[in-house]
Amino acid sequence: MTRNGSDYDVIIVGGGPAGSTAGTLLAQAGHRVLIIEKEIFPRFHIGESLLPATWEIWQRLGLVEKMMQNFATKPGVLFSIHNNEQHMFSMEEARELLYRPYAFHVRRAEYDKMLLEHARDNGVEVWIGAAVKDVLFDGERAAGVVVAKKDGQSQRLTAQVIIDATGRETLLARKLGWLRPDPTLNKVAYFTHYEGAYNLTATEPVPTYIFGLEGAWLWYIPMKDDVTSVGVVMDMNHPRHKGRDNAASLLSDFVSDCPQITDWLQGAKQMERVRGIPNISYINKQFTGDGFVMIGDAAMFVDPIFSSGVYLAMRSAQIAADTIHAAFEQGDFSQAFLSSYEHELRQHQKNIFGMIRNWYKMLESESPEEAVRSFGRVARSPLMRRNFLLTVVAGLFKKGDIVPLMEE
Amino acid sequence: MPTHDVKDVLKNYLHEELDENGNAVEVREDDNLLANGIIDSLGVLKLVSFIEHQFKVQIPDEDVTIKNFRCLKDIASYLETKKQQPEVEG
Repeated sequence: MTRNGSDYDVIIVGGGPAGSTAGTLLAQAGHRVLIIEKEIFPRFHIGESLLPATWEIWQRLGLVEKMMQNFATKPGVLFSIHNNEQHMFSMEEARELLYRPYAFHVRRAEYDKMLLEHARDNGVEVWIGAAVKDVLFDGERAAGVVVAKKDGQSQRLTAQVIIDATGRETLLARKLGWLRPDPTLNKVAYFTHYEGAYNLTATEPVPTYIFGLEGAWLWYIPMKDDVTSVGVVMDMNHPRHKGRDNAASLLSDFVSDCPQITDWLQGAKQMERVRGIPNISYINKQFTGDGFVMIGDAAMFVDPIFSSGVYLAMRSAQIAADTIHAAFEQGDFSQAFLSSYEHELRQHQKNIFGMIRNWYKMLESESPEEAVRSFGRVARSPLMRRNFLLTVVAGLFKKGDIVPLMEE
Repeated sequence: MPTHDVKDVLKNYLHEELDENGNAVEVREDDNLLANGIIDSLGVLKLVSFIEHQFKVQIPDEDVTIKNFRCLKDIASYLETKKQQPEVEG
């Protein structure tokens, strides 16, 4: 029981990167926090390429050392359009502007488990294998949750603030009808992991590889321990996708369009079934209400082209945690107060959607030659190269963040 | 074409672009285009193509610098200097 009579100060539904980050920061600020995670970790998750903008959050969490010990270094991103010229965007080019001129490739099973254990080490109570069935409301205000525990028992718990960190399950957005798919980014992704593919992470830093093709793009992300993530993102209306539901053959069709990846996968063993995520992008109508906040994928899901998912999840968690801490100081848990979180997060989110739309416009130019030429201009012009590097590759998405850096 | 017309054409272009992205903002001639999310790197790409097409000029990649493309005023004076140099074909 807390000072205010509820079971916890904050209940966080979901223990992925967003939930764990919010949990750790709130516990560090002295709050009584419960994270309820329905899965048993480690578990498979996609989204392995991280961004340098995350350093600030790893620092606050106290995870800088662990990140450097545990994961493969990502020095930048290499883009190739229509199997043409390869353009490497290296963080080294902006070394003087970044805390560290690299990020990481992580197996999410391992990374997410580390973050959740870190939350527990920081004083968060963590229940795993327990599913939240519903969020309880007292009028308009979220007041608690109903949890189905492993033993089949159902339990009601109360808190001052409920955080929805349920990922694409979007527990609260579905309950409230707030989910808004983005019709301009009507894409689908198929992906898996390989063992024994071309992977030099044991000996040198390896970039994220992005291959833009006709109406689709592929990622190739080498991680530690000889595991490599490969996936494709295409339009839902792509001729190959229409009427097809064989995920494995869809992925292999696109891989065979890309000689480089085909070569790299010679003799490799597929480790996971090919999974798919349809209707990738959405943004909820609102991210906050009286007594509740939505973070990470439970608030919005951004097309994965610029590897922004984990960063936005953790950034949203950090902003939400700071806002909720301020709410406790003020004793005000109203939507009006909590909405400052939403306002701040949208500063980070707005530009990334614009950049993603521009990426697809470029990829879907009149001809493949035009797309190749366009991206070549981005890579060669000093202004575009620097801007692309700092926003897209480093993850400085927030309005105005990048301008002072560019003018130094 | 006088520089104020160049700036007006670009203002209209940017206004339409922004409408498409759902966040229309009036762009003034000395607004920093990279600030406040008016334009991103791939947006600059479209702007450069538009200028080449509209004003029948070729802009070498190395000329797309912060100095030349910071704001509409800078773009206009860059195009002014281009006009004074004879176009070399090939």
